[in-house]
Amino acid sequence: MHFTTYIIIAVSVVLFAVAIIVGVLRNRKLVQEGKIIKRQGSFWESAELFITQAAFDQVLRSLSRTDLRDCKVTAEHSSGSRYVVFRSSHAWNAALEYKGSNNGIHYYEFSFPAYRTRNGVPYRPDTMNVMETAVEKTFLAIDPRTRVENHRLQFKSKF
Amino acid sequence: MAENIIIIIVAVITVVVLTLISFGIHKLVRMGTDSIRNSIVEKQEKRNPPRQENLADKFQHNPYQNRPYQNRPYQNRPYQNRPYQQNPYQNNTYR
Repeated sequence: MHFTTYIIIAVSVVLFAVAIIVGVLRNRKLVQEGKIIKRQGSFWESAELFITQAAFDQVLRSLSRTDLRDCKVTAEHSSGSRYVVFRSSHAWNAALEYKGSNNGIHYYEFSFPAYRTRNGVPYRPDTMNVMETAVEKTFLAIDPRTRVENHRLQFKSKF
Repeated sequence: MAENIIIIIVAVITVVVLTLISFGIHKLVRMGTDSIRNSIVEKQEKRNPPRQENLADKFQHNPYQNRPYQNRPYQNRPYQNRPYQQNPYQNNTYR
């Protein structure tokens, strides 16, 4: 092989290592700031069902006060709708759906219905984690006895 | 001249057809992997139905969260703050 080829290979290996280190450091910082919690791999493929005493109005009010600047998100909710859709400029959407209530217990489902991937992984899973953590903290702030259930979602790839 | 035009047209058509075929194959493979993955997930959910957990526990007892000693490596070590660490010559019987 030519000398230049070796240099190109070495530079790409170094760049790859630097990218991994930067990612790990950024994740560690977010964990220490309490903006994310460590989760199982592919957490974006699961929906979280929240079982809580928090009413939908309370949740909406609390979410509107939540700081979501790290996710670059715009929240959309039309009055009378049971959905809140969060559109992020990091190529993912999240949705919180109010599933109804039973004897004063309310049910909500949070999931990522659409996201773009590179090699099967979303572009910025850390921002998805920030979003999910913010939603969990919102429910905890309203009702500390909130319970949660994880469901893996069926999915369909698009091109 | 006419032959060159024919060759160019054939080349363009070949490229387009090959692109369409590769796109179709890619789509078929993705559909296949999606359906395999979905059926595995369905079976797993049936075998191990999801359990409810306290949301607060996810923050307090998160097995994936950093443990305290990782942030403060010398905290809670049994050999910390022993007298000889503060003054190595204290209680030294050889002096």
